Formats: sequence, structure tokens, C-alpha cells
Amino acid sequence: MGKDLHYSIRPFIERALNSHSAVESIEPIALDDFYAYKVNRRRGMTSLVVVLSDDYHFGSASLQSKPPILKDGGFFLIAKPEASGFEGNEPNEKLGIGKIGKLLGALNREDFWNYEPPKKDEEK
Amino acid sequence: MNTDQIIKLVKLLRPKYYNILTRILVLGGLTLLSKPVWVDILNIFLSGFKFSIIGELDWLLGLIVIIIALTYNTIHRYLELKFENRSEPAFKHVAIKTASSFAELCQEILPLVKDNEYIFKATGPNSGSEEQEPLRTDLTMWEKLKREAILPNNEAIKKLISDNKQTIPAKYTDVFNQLLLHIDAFNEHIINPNFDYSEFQFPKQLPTIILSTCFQTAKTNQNLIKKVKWISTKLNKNYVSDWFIFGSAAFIPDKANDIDIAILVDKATTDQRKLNDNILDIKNDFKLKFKKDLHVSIFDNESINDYSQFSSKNPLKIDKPNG
Repeated sequence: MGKDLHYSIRPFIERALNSHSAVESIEPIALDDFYAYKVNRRRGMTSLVVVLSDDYHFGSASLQSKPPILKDGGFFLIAKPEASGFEGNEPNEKLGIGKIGKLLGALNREDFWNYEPPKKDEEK
Repeated sequence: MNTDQIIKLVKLLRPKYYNILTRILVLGGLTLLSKPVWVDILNIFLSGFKFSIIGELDWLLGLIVIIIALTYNTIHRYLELKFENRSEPAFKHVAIKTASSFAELCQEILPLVKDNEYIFKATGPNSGSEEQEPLRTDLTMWEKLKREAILPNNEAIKKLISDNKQTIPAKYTDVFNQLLLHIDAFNEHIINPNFDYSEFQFPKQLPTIILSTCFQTAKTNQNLIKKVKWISTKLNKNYVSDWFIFGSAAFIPDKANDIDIAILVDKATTDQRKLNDNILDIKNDFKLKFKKDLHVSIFDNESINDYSQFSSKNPLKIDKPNG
């Protein structure tokens, strides 16, 4: 856990979120150990908290270190493009996990924690 | 006082939520300070209850404990803020103009080249066919960073090379000249997007030359050796099977913002909560001792393949010492 992210990453994510058709606005949340945003959505969907993980490998230890702000659910964003590891969800905790592409897909659903991106073959 | 200074002041005054020691000490101090009140209340139920540590001056002891706890917390926060890892375009951190050796020149150029590479990989055009990420259609950030970071980074690289030509070994002169041509062509392309710079590709041999030169120098860096020894004694050998240092610290240990370390843990024998606490302690101690962040990537034995792949992706790394 931490804030070890290249300076290009947050503006890139903020721009992607702000340009998303389901997003009304984003508000940064001040945390000591993570960058985080509250994402307010359109179409009557609830807002959600997105926390950025700076891990090179997202594994069980990353999940254990999630900040208390995600205790009621949210999206744990694997922010480093080069990061590897777990990209499943934790539906019982209403927690979505994944990279930016997955988050942008999940934002279209109220139950964002159940969203799985289509496989490459399915897209064709 | 600008906004940054105000934010720093607010952060400094706000105790970190995980600072358990501060909480315990402040609570203990408050207990002693408010002793007359709670002893009176307890005596409503338990007549004759007495409590004392140093007698009449318990309140003073309480006050001193609170002051010590808050001072400790403030120092901790100050150090954390002072040495906060701030990511910025690399050209802002070029430290030397004249290099005494080729290795020193490479260590100055590496962060600039890496910064450009990262911007390209994170925000630049991707083909979509080989990438795992979806095809990027919005290239606004890429266009912005080309001008605000890559262009000045390139200028800094050019200046470093032209000021230190004499340090470049003859066998590498052509490669560095190709880099200068690439930079000029790329810069021209930024100003005039119709300019085709495909004839002036980034020289593919350059990263290998720079990385291996920096790595050979870093391996003998005394500060890095000290850190490796320190980490080695702190990591619990009962559950950490393997670890290595990778990333910028393995190439430019004195300039790196933090130390990246990958550890492989034996999940079967590890209490995850204890492990996290142990890692957190090590990170805090490391920051206090070396004034740098320790950034830990943890792989459990279910991710052993990921660990091996990660290790292969980082062939130039500082392995854990034997024994």
C-alpha cells in the first residue's frame, strides 16, 4: 500500500473517469496511505469509492491491506499499468478489483462488484 | 503560506489512524490527568478505591506522557512529509552537468529515458492486439505529456550527452548519436505532427547499455549494500522464502525515490495479519533510518508462478544475500 504512482497515472485515471458517460463527477478523498476518489454516477446509480493500489503485484496481502474506507464496498483499482495479479471481485464485500479498463466497464452497472470484462474472443 | 504548505500543516497536526503507540500513550496520559474525576466516580460503587503511581503528582506525569506522545507523533509525521515520495517529470531532478565517468552519465540519463518510456506505455497509443489493456482512443494525456515532460526530458538528455561526450566509450558513440537523432526527430514531430520520424527510431541497444552500466555501478554502492543487509536482518526468515530488490534502486540507488522489493512468502506458515503488521513495522523503521520509502510487493506461494515471471521480467536485480 502507498502512493508510489508515476505522476502520469492519476491525471490519466481522472480524465478517463470524467469522460465516462455514467459519471457525473469525481471527488478526491484525502487518505494518508492511498489515493482515492468518490465517483458520483448518473442514471440514478449510487456513488462508489475508488481506491488506487500502487502494488506491482495485487495479491492476498494487497486485499488484506485495503483501507477501512472500502469496508462497505467500492472498487480497488490496480493503478499501475504494468501490475500483475488478482483481478477477480469480492462480491460478498461488494468490492470490485481490477485495472482501469475493468473499472470503466463496471461503472455502467449498479452491481459493479459483479462485473467481469468480456474475454478477448467474446469481443470479436 | 501557499496551499501546499497549508496542506502539509494540516497533515502534520492530524495523527495517523494507525499510530497505535500515540493513542495508547495519550489515553494513558489522559487517564492519569483525569484521575480525581474517575476515582470519585468509581468510589460511588467501590468505596475506598485508591490508585496512584507517583502520588499527588500523577496529573503531571499524565501531562508529560501526553506531551511525549504528541511530540513523537509530530516528529514521525514531519519526517514522513519531509521525505514524501513525490513523482515529477525526471528533467526536474537532473543533478549534474559534468559527469566524471560513463557510469555517472548513464545514471543521470536513466531516469529521463525511463520517464519517457513510462509515459509512452501508460498513456501512449497501444496497438490493442498484443496489449491486455483495451485500445486507447483518448490520447489527450499522451499529447499533453509529450509537450510537458517528454520534450524537456529529451532536451535534458541532449544536454547531458553533449556536455559529456568525452565519457562515452568509442564502441557506444554510434548508439548515442542515434539517440540524439531520434530526439531531434521526435521533438520536430511534436511541433509539427505531420513530420514523419519513423526513419529515426529510438536505438534499441541503448536501454541495455545504460541499464547494465548503471547496474554494475549500483551493485557496489555502499548505501545500497547497507540497506540490503538491514532488510535481510529484518525480514522474518520463517515465512519469507525469497526476496529481491528491483526497479530504480537497483540502478540508481542514490537517486531512487524509494526501494522496491518483491518478497515471496510461505502462505501455509504465515498469519497474513501478522505478516502485514511486520511489513508495516519494517517500512516505518526503514523510513526513519534511511529517509526513503520501502515499497513491498508480496507474493504468496499460490502466486509462485507470478513471482517467477516477475523475477524474469527484472533480470537485473539485487538478490537476497546468501546465508
